Amino acid sequence: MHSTTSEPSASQPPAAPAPGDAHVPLPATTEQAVKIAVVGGFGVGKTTLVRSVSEIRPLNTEETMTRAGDGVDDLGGVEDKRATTVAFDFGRITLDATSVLYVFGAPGQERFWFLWERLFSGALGAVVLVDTRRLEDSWYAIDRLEAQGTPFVVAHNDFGEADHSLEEVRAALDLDAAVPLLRCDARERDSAKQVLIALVRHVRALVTEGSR
Amino acid sequence: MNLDTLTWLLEGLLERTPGTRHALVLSRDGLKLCHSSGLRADSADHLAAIAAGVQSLAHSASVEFGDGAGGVRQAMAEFYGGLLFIVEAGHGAHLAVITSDEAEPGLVGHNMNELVEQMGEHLTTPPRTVAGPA
Repeated sequence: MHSTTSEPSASQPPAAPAPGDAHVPLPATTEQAVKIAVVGGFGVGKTTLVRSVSEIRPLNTEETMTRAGDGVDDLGGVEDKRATTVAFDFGRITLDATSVLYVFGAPGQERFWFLWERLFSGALGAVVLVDTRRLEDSWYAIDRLEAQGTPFVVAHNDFGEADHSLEEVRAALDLDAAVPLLRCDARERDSAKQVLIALVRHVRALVTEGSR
Repeated sequence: MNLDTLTWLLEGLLERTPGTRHALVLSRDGLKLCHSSGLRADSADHLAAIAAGVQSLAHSASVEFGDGAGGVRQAMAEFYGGLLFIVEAGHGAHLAVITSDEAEPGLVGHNMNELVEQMGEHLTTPPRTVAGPA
């Protein structure tokens, strides 16, 4: 396999173990692997998004939330949440005969942020999921991506209920006009797929601009 | 069993196991419950998050490649300057131990499991049931 020529370069296939009983086997003709990271605050729907788009049984490292997290992991707005990711989510989508996309979902809480660096390593770009009930949870992700120059798009996960206009969300996040912002329902495969497509288009546009 | 007793038990583990440096009990979602006195609070927070991630990945490995019993007996990492051991410790909790290079892995594992038996059911870290107000 080889990396793409785009900048930042696409990754080699990750070392993470791919689940064995894939619904769709990886074609032997695969030559190119692209890695995308999904980040954002606690409880915003990152694991759900990876699950929605993955064609294989996703690796997920969700653990039951314990009473030790009372007062640490704020469930405001997501009172029904019972489990939380403690390492990362891993899913895969075969794009065509030669290209495959690996999607890595990061854990949201501050105590797991040290894991993000490895998840970003070699990534083509990132998706920042935001929830308008807890917008401030996404500031760290956006700041970090801007600081390290990783291309990203922001997806407002509204669970099918639009509560704020995208303009309002953009203003509240103080998001640069050049960063794509779109609405999605992380539970819906098609909706989640559109987010990944938006990211790939954004990265392509950046590369095209840069080579002019 | 209160936290002081648990901490005292952790100190005892370090004392009778050559090469051990730190011991920590954590919840499965990555929060420290108690730890030996030599471990700074920041390092304890970090180790709790690391150990929860490692145990969760080890569990995924057991599901994928294990015999179906679905359990992780022990997760271990050997790095330059030391080793990390993690075992399950009661329902919803894990015990993590950091040692120097000189530690004897068999003895460390044995003593950790012995300690888990002593702690027994006292280590239960129950799931959150009713979500509290923000």
